[in-house]
Amino acid sequence: MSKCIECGLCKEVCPSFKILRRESVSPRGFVIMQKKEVYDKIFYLCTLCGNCEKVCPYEAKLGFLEFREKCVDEGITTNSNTKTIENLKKTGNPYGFSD
Amino acid sequence: MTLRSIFGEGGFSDSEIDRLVYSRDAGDLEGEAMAVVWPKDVKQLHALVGYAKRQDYNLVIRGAGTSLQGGCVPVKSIIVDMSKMNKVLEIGDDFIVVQAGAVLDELNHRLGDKIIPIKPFNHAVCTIGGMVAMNCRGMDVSKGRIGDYVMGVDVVDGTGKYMKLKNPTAKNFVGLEGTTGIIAHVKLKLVSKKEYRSFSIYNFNTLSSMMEKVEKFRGKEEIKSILFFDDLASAMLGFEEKNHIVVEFLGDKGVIKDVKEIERILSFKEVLYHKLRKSRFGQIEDPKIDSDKMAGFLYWLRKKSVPVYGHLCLGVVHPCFKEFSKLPTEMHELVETIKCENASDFGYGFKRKSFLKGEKKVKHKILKEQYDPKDLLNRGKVHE
Ligand SMILES: Cc1cc2nc3c(=O)[nH]c(=O)nc-3n(C[C@H](O)[C@H](O)[C@H](O)COP(=O)(O)OP(=O)(O)OC[C@H]3O[C@@H](n4cnc5c(N)ncnc54)[C@H](O)[C@@H]3O)c2cc1C
Repeated sequence: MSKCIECGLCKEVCPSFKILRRESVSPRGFVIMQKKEVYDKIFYLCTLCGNCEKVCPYEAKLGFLEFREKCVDEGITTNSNTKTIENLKKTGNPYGFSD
Repeated sequence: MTLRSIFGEGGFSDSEIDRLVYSRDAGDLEGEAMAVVWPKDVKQLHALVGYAKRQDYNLVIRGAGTSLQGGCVPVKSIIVDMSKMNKVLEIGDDFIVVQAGAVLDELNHRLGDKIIPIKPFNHAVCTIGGMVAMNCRGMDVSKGRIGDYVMGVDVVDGTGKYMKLKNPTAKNFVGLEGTTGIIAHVKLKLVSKKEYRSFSIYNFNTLSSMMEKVEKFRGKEEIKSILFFDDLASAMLGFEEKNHIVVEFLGDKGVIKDVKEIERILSFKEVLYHKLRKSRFGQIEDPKIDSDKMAGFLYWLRKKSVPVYGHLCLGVVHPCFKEFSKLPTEMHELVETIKCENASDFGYGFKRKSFLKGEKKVKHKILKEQYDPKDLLNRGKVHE
């Protein structure tokens, strides 16, 4: 397991980058934010799909799930995320459906 | 007129996050970005250069941002991210016209029997504009460089002039690392995937026996390339710990003719490159050594236990040093002493400006004065 060297080779397998074509919505962008401990809503655009780790020739471990947790701890969240958590707490499912 | 009004909401950002993320590229330098713009067409590029000229802003052009020498690192600059200019404009029988932000692999997947034959290690992400600006060489060195396939470019230069150029003038924007103009569109020659070539692999216990064999091959018309791995690099590739050469023959003189096997051979360098970087060989160099000095140079590297691979016909070798090693500086001094070149393939960017010398430096100065006299584009790069 190694650290990300920011080569950018995973950009084109990131579903969010693929559409937005914006470095701050790419695995390398998220890694830079992580390193600088910058928490922002933009990180919720990471789908946590793990494609970046799959194609990484250096087998880097990016830890985006943990970073998402940190964002929540820092109080950085989105409306839909807050709603999903509320739903889970109330109904046990993310959609808020009750039987 | 403001940048926001030129580029619209989705095409401009001066957010803290974007400025942070765009302060770096794939190398180890960091700068300061003032804002980022994502142009969609030539009209916006033209307006941008006019704006920069009036406000005395400098512009840093960015493709996939895989430059290793700080080519995309800003110095209080506006970043011009070409990623959204990624359309195919025309495909002909043996050519393609694309916007500069188009990604190499995507184009080649889309093309049929004829392709863009230059495939660098970062083929999955690198943009055509970045490749042309760097005059990129691929894994298959006998194919030459991307500049050999450029038929024309459309550019906006540092004075704001939009030009549609054919060769030879188009070449004034090839390998100039974005210091003369923003490449908007590129017309590239396509070549057939089918080839008439074969390979043989030889191994040697000593460098001297290997160099003797190389001398026998040198200059022969049927030899297209000689790829070399020293014993240390060979071991990393999983070969016997000996010096290896992979000789490419025009026609069927070589032992290996099977297409799949040839593909595997061509991937050796890519496999090795990633293994090296994973093992923290963070400084991979690209000196060009004259043939009569090559043996001595390789002995020097071996004595210092530096793994090396390279192309003996071209004289371009890649010694691989661990991160933070001071040996590269020693090697640069040696290369200067023997009057060879310290940079041949990976560009100059910020980090290696001192390597640009002689005729190349003079040519760069003349072109810079002609196309970007106010130094708006990639300021401080390639040479002062
Ligand atoms: C893992 C890895 C492997 C690599 N393998 C190779 C290799 O095999 N061979 C090789 O030659 N290089 C290689 N490189 C170096 C370099 O990244 C390549 O030369 C590549 O072509 C750059 O493409 P890019 O789109 O990332 O350009 P960028 O890195 O974005 O830009 C490179 C330079 O070109 C300029 N530029 C970019 N787009 C334009 C444009 N439209 N108009 C004008 N200037 C522009 C930039 O300002 C910068 O100076 C590698 C880099 C990495 C990280």
